[in-house]
Amino acid sequence: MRIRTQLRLTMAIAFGVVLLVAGLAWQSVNAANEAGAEQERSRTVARHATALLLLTQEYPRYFEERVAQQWRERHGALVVELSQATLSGPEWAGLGALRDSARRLPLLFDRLTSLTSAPEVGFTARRADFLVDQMINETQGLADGVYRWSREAAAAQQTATRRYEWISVSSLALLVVLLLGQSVVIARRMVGPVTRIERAVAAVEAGNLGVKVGWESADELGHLARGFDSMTSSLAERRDELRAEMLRREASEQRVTAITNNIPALIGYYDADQRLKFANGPALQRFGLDAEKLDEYSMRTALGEALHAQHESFVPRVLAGQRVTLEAEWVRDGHREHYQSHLVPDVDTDGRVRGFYAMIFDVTALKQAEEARAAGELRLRTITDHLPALISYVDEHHFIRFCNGTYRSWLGVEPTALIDKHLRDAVGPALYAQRSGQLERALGGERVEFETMSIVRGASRYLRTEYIPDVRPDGHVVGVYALSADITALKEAEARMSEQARSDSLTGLPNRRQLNERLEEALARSRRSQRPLALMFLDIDHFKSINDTLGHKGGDIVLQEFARRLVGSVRGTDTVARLAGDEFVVVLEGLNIGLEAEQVARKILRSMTRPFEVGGTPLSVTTSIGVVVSGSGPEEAADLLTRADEALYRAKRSGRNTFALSMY
Amino acid sequence: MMSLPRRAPPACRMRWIAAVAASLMTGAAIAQSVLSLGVPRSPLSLPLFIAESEGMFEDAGLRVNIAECPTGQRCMKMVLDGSADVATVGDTPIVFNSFSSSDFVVIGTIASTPGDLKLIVRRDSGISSPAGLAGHKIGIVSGSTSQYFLDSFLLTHGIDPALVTTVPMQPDAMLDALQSRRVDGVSVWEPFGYRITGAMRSGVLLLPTEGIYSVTFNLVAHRRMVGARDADLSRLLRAVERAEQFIQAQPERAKSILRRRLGTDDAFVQWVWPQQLFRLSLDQSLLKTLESEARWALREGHVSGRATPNFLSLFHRAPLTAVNPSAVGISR
Repeated sequence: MRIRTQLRLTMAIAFGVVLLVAGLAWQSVNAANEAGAEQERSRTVARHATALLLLTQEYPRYFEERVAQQWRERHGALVVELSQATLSGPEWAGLGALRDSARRLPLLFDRLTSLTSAPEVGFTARRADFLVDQMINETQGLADGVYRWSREAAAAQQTATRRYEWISVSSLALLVVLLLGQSVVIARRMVGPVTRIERAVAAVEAGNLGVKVGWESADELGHLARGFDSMTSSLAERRDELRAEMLRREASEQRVTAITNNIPALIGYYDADQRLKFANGPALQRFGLDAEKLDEYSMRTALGEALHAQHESFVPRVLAGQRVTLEAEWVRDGHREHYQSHLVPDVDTDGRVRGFYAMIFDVTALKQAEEARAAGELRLRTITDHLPALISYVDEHHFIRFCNGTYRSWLGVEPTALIDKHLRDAVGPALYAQRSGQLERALGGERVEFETMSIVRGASRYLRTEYIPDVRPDGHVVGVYALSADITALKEAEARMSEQARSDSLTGLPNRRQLNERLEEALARSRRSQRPLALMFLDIDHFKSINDTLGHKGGDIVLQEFARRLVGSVRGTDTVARLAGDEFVVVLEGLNIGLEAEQVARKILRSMTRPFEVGGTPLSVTTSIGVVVSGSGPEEAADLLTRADEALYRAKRSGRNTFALSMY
Repeated sequence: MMSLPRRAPPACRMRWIAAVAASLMTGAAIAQSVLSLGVPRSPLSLPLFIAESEGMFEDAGLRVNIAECPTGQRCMKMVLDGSADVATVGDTPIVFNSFSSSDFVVIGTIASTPGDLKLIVRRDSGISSPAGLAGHKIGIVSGSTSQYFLDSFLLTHGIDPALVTTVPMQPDAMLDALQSRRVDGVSVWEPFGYRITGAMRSGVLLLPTEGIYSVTFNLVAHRRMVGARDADLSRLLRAVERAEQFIQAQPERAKSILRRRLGTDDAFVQWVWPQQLFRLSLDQSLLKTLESEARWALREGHVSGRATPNFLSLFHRAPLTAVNPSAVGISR
């Protein structure tokens, strides 16, 4: 039960007991009073009854009217007294009988008084005796009843008084016992826990938050004790959290200090009045500051006049809440030093600027490196601009990122106009399509070489181009360096040299010069012998694409194998020559009939059916042949060659890998 | 098995508890007390009937054997010849016996009523008023209240009893005597009066007798019990007092017991009930009554003695004083 409830209950019980006791006491007092009144009344009646008895005994002596009168008055008074109803409560049980008795008396008395006029005979005397006895009996009975009434009323009053006393004493005792009992119970319920709570409070005051009251009763003190224990637990937990937080913060601060002391920056914090509040180790060292007297420095005295002058104009902006980055220079010990300063405002939650951080980075080395790099780049550019080669760089997305000055001198194109252009836009769609194969190979990581001829400023120019992939360490190709050297002079010299030579350097076959000589000689012999002569003009089908696919080296291998198979298909007396590129001529002499030429042509075609080996890869190579047989008119070498070329053209048109005859 | 009056007042209950406590302490001795009682079949014997039927004698530590007797005279004789320890008798038998014996004592009055005696006359006898009784034969029970009542009636109304012929008879013979015209009227107590009027209806007339005589019912014990068995007498009186409290507290149950005990009907009970007063006492008025009756008996020549006996010596107050001192109104 809660103590409050118990107290209320106690009060209610005490109140109830007081009410009950008061009620009982009132009732007892009332009863005592009524009994007293009843007793008083009974005494009055008793006095009347006694008087009546005496008068009854007195009257027969002389039968005096005086006595009769007194008797009647007494009797009347007695009747009046008896007729009064009891005030409250039950009437005394014998009262009815008394009234009856009192009512009977006058009848007897009247009979007695009537005897005064009766004749004085024996019977009258007997009757008088009898009536007197009756009267005395009745009156005595009445008196006895009244006495008894009086005694019982007295007893009732005594009882009521005793009862009142008993109720008073016992109710007082009951109240005292009740209150004492409740006091003891409440004290027992309260003193123990309150003492424990006091001890716990003292312990908490002494800093011991681990203390517990440990009182588990279901009443208010139990509730209070549990609340107290819960509170101290919460406080202890909070204290531990705060300690941990402090440790974390100290560690964090140490880390921050360590970081600020070890980063290559000069860090300072100034308040809104530009008084120095913090400077990291490098800053202290660089500016020669005393760590113990930071407050004494202003921004001016901390940075020095020269540096401060370069910062001063930015401070109002920083104090207005803006972040500022600026470059500054400082000549120290005869060396120019470069600094980059970041001024960062320290803004509180209300948006007010409390101060600002100055983070100054020494960028001297960076500056110097940048200058050195710029100088190097200039040198390289000067070199590349004056190299006799077109040098460019195309990234993996086919955008031109670099062009050297040669573009300007050779092609009349300003390099800056090409840079950052897509290759297609720079060279046009046709040429872009032509180069895209090599470009993709190079971007695939292969070094690609090829020669091209272009008309530049109205003159043919031969270029030897190399695509060199720009491979990163991870193998990724991010672009291609393109180097194009002008080999026109070389080509021209080579052509001149070839003209002067009699045989082809690649295949070892007679060249155009020797063929012309041999053809003239063969024509002469044909005319002399009257035996026809056949001339075949051949080229390799789709040689250009072979060349493009396999490169010049592959093309050269094909040409050499082709020459060998050609030579193997004719007689030793016949002439096989290479005119240029993939163009070959065969001269067949001493033919009996022209049809023999056709047989040789078929043989040549057959010899080509076996696949060629180029770098271990089988390659199908076919040829188309134009055939002209002499003997049908004036024959000139040039004329024969022209007709054979025409026949070749027909063979090509009829689907290649075949021959065609030139007929007159 | 103890049974309590259901609405007993607190004081009564306290006394009863005290009695029970006392009985527990001296239970062994109490349990062996036996009293034989001679009790007339009268409504005034009701306290004894109730004490018996409600187990109040046992509660008081008594075993009581009740023997019914037709008249108070007979009951008185039972005491005197030793066949009963205590008897219930009217005042007149005490007076008559006091002239010849002092072997008994009166220990208390248990009831009184002014309406117990009836004077019933045959309607055809010509008696219509008290004066008409002269010269007629009236049946009485000799030596009993019946005899005294008739004389009282006659003397009160100024008629010389010598003018009336009394015919002694037992009360149960009176109806027959009236019907057979052997007598013209009878002086008799209840329940005989009720029976006779009930049986003869308009054949009889009830003369008005109010204020003539109040009969008392008294407990009379043999003198040998005085002192020796006062405690038993007190127990008897205590049971009677409880029975009288019972009558006051539960009148309907009391009436029911009376009806059952007398074998009568409800109308009879209603008839006699209002005038009966059940109040245990031993008063001066009884002494006066006995003395006046003794003087009457001498005066009218019903006894042959010379002087009125000293009735005070026949009063034994101790047992009632032990039970209820305020009930004892006689001093000695």
